[in-house]
Amino acid sequence: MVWLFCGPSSSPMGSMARERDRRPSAGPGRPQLTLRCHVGGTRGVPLFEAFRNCRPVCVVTTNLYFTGHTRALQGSNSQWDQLVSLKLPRNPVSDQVRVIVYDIVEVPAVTAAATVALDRLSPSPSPHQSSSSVSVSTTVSTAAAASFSSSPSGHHRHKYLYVGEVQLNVAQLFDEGKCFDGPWQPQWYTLYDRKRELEWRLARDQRREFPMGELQLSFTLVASMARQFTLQEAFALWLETLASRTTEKQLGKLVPLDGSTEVGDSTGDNDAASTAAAPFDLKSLVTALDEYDVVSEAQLDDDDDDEDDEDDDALTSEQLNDIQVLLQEVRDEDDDEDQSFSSANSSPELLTARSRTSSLGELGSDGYSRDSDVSSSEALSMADSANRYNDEDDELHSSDTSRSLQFKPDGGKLLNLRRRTRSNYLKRYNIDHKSLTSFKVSKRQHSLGVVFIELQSIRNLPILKNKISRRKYDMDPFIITTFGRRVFKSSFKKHTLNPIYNECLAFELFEKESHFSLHFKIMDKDSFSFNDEIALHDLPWEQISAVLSSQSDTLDWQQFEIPLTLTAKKVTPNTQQPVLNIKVKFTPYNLLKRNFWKHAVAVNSPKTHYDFVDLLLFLDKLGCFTDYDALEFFQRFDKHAWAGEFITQNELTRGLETWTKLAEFKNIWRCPSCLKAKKKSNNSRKSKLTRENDLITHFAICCFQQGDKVLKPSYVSSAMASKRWFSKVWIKLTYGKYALGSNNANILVQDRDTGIIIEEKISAHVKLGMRIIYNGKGKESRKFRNLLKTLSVRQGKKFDDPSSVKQIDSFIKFHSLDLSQCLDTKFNTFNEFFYRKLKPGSRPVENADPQVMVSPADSRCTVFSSIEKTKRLWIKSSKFSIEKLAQNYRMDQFKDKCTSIAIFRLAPQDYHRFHCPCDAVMGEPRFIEGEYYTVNPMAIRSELDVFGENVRVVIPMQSAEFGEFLLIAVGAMMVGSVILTRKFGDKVQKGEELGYFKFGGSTIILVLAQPSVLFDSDLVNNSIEQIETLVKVGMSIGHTPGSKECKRTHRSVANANELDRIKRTISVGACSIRELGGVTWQYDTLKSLIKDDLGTPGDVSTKR
Amino acid sequence: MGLFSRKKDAPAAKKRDDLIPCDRMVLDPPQQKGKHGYGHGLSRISPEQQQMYTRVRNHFADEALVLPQDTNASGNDSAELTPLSSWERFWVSRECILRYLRASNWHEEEAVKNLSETLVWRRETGLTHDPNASTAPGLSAESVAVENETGKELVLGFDRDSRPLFYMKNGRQNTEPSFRQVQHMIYMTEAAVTACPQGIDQITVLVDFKLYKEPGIISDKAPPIAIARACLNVLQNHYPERLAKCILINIPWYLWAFVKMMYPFLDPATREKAVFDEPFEKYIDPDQLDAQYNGKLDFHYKHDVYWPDMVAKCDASRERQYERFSQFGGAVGLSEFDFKGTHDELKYPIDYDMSK
Repeated sequence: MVWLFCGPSSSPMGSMARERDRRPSAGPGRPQLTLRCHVGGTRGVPLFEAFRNCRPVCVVTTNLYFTGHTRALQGSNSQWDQLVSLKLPRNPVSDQVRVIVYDIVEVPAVTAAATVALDRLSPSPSPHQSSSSVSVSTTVSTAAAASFSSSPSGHHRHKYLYVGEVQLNVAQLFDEGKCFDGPWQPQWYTLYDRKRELEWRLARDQRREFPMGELQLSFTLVASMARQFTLQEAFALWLETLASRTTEKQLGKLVPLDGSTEVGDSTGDNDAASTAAAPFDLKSLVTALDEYDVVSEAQLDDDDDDEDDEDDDALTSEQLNDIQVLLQEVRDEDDDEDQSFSSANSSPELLTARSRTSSLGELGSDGYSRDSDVSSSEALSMADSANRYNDEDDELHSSDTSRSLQFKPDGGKLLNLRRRTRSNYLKRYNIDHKSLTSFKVSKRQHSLGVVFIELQSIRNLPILKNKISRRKYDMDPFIITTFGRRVFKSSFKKHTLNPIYNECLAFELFEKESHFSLHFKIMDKDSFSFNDEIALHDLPWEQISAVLSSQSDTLDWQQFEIPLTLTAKKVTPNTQQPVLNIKVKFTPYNLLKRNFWKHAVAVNSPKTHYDFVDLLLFLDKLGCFTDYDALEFFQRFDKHAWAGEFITQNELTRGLETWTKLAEFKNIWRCPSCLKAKKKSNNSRKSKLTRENDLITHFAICCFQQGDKVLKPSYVSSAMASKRWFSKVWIKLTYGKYALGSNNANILVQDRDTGIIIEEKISAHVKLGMRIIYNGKGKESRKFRNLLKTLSVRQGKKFDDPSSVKQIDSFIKFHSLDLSQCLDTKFNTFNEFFYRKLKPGSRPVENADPQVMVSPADSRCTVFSSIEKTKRLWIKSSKFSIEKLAQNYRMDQFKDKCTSIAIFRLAPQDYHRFHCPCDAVMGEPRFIEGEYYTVNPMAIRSELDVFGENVRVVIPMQSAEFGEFLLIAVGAMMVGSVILTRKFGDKVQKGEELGYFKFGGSTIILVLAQPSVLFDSDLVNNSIEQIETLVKVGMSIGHTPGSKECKRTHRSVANANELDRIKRTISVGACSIRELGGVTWQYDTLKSLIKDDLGTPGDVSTKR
Repeated sequence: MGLFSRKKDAPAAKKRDDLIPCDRMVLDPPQQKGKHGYGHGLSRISPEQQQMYTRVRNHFADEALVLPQDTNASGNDSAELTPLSSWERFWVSRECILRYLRASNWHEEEAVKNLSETLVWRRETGLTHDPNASTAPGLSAESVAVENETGKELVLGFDRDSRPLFYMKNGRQNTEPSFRQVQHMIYMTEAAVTACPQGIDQITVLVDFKLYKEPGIISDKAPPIAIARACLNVLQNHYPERLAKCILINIPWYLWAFVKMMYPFLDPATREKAVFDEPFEKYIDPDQLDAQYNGKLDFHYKHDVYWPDMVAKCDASRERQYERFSQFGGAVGLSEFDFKGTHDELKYPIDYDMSK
């Protein structure tokens, strides 16, 4: 049976006003069409003629929210003679206009509950009062449609009695342009009772019309932006949009009175479908509707405030309520007619999105969900916080896709469920469909498999020399293995150059990590001083998997010999290169699953053969199963349960693997090996280190013992793993817990390509200085601010001086910069070096798709879907707000609740030009004067509103794909100026340069209206964990909701030097500090500066 | 009376001096006063029901009717299909069809479906009683004998309406849960059903939860829920309309609490059938009741006496009925009343109209 789908008249919610608010870019060049409908009056309506106390009201609607209505008349006078203006949706899906006539019936509140039954008008009108003589189904459905309280707390309840409606098509009304020039002659249209038609169709499986009288209407079309477009053009444009937006255009027919009595409308198309749907259970539909009403009514109440300002008529609150009820009525009625409430592509997702938290998905192969947990939760919260309204287009989208949905005849229950799902979920959270539907439905994200590595031995380590005694000695080597976020540290072996470890490590490999690489670092453990780094190697996972898949038995251990690159300085080089021997094994997920069940079966019951009762008992241990489930097992293997036949353990394992009733497995949460419960607890979900969120992989790792020691990934970064205990104690004491995202001075940055997390170093005195400035209050800190400002300006001037060229070398040396990509290597001033240009092509745009947004700068990036989240996770200042950031620059578009924000922090060593993230037209830039605070995360994460107070340039950009967004270049400590290389009105291509910063660290902030962009999930993921991600100009950072996320391909890191370079980009290597005598280059410069200036040495305000 | 407390215990059993010694199953119920025979003939049904009956009977009397040999065969085309054997036709008696019709609330298709399912199930389980058929392994008197060594299930005596009494003594459990237990239960139900005298096709089940401390008894725990449920499903699906009354005594407190909570939600028909913690003698004449439950039968279970005797008696009774069935023509729809009686003339021929 075909599901009755959403007809064109049923429509999306959302209002033009909001539309304009939220998406300024929806169509700057597109005119707004307004349909003016002059409602004359009715004639021949038996109800109004027979009863003197009717209060007819006429509602004109193109869809649910785009609704206008006439005033309610008294005393059965049905001559409104009123003009109703109706904005046509900018992105129309249907050109249908419905004119519906209602009669308002006032019911005293007390009796309202009792008199739910309102008789329907029939050709021979019966009194419209409570009547129990009508048939049950009619009663219920009428009641459902008609009983709404107009004022929840008021004394009166209004019931809107549906009288009839006229359905018209705008396209046909105005074809041949006949009424463009002036008001159209009023015409009489027949009023039909569509509701009854539907009921009739459902009950009797045939069509019949119920003409209720006639209605006089005339229409005019008005277009905004009349200077640019004529009405005809505007209308043609509108039709074009319409045509492009409707997948199957549903043609309606005009029904003039003098014409044939043929009734053609949208429902006509659906007719075949709906007749087929005849056995559809009307009653259950009605109960579903009832539930729906409650929820949506509540929602309407919430929306009160918003409705207020959009209603141009001055209305008393009671009248307002009337409208809402009317809207409600219309919507409900719509549903009644078209049953459009199943939005096919969102509801199953929603279901699974919720059930994911249940046990089902965890073991499941059939749990469908969105790409990843994080992205979905992101989407939900995004929708939650931002978009309170369902966008009209989206609604239609989803209903479009529902067209192909097949439905079972006994779909009443399912319908109910769907209804509830949507009403609960969508109504409560008002989820933006766009952001939901853009996620592709995919298999639940579980890991690709588990990687097992055995660290065997190292050969040929070099001999070290002691600094003081100059004696040669054998080292105490240990290995730090890093893969993405997992850091393993082996034990150390005493006094050996050929240590044998035989230690194992195992971790889950996720798909998004498959381009990461394994990073080995050999360290020498010192008893009294810091550990020394000896050698390292970087082995891309792709390389390993290529080797693994090339061998005959892909599941077996594979030996790897890894040549190590020596990094230690004071070594006596061995003649032979040191080699690390490891064994690697990769077990894919499906195999793990089988293995898991095998063990689970073996642990739970020692039998090898299972008869019917054995199986029952076994299943009883796993969860709640019936004997029919057990019989199913026997049936699958063609065994006769009742004849006392057996299934073997193997068969049982196989059966369990493919078992679909996973929700029933209530008791399988205990790992059969370590007997620890693996059910997701709050604790484990919060834990940032464990990635084993899956019992099956947990079990694989848990079982992997082999007699050898298994290492645990208990370190945050490899730097932390290589620290000595006293350093750790010191860090703990001074900065608190060392963990991802904890609010401390340890700035953790993840390289996007290798996945390595590296700690960004700030020299201790800088940290101290920052603490004084940014946590201090009162006079002192104000002094410091002034100092900073003068210093920054002065420094800027100084760096513009040709004499500053001298400092370039030390800068390059300090940051170990690679100048090979630079366009020009001759610099006249330091600043010139600072905003050096790169060779064309060195920062290619990763994805040419205009729907993909790319990073504007080489930077450390954090992205957040709402300001709220930003403030919770990153910008800790309570004073921060978008208004302050952009100095109220067109604040109507960027509201705190529905604005995404991306922060790109540039460090001094970075390439300091910023580029355009997408094809856009540049608006008028605005320079805002301010302070010169540092943009270091340490400051960002303090009470100080750095972004809101620093000097900055707000550049509005207008893009076709992403709408209007702001690119804010925030100057920071010592950045005297932001220079724009493009000007107002320029059309800038994606990846083209926009401008540059002069000396210092600085930040680019992108401010986007929410629904227009979805950030890449890895960035979102990292940002939630408060880790910055290292991105380069041209890397994808996000995409429009309509397009897919740009899949990152691996840019393999060629060698260890390359890796080292990456690290240097992030952080200043300790060795270079040492080389420079332990003092940063800026320190010297500044010291002399301050001395000159103030005469007081201050080691506080040093770099960045 | 507290929520979970049980009713006041019946007065302690008096020492009787008029005990009747007994250690075997009794086949014939005591003569009822003023009644001829044990039960009564077939009860009236409406003409529509008669028509329905005729259609169902014709379905199973059809020579062309073939059924699969096992329950897995549904939807499997290659499954071996065989027609009904004479023993199966014997089983599909008039009363049997009526039972299935009543159980399905006079829903014809459902009755046919359920009956066919039971036939197939009986084939798979090995309950055809056909000496020629290849009996499934397991379900024979010998194989389940060990389960009854402590006499945990018994068929002994009759209630006031001449229905055989089927004792289930949970506290005499002697084995771990196994498939054999289920088979044993099926075997004993079959025996109890066979013990139904003429005109009776229902049994009364007496459940005693009391723990007996005797050698060989290992627990008084109720069987695991899964098995209990499976057994219940068997009784429900394959022995419909066979239970007249189920009396439970010595219910442990937790079960009692559960029962109390569930009682309002039970189906009225089921509720009527189940009796909780009422003395057996309220429903059963003392001279048919075990002395242990305040009756007069001085019954002590001796496995080597009771079991072979019961098996032999059931088999003999069944054989005799089958013989009479063959004698009367061996067709589907003959009445059990005729098999079980001793009369020579067929009282209910195949085309007998029960609506008259």
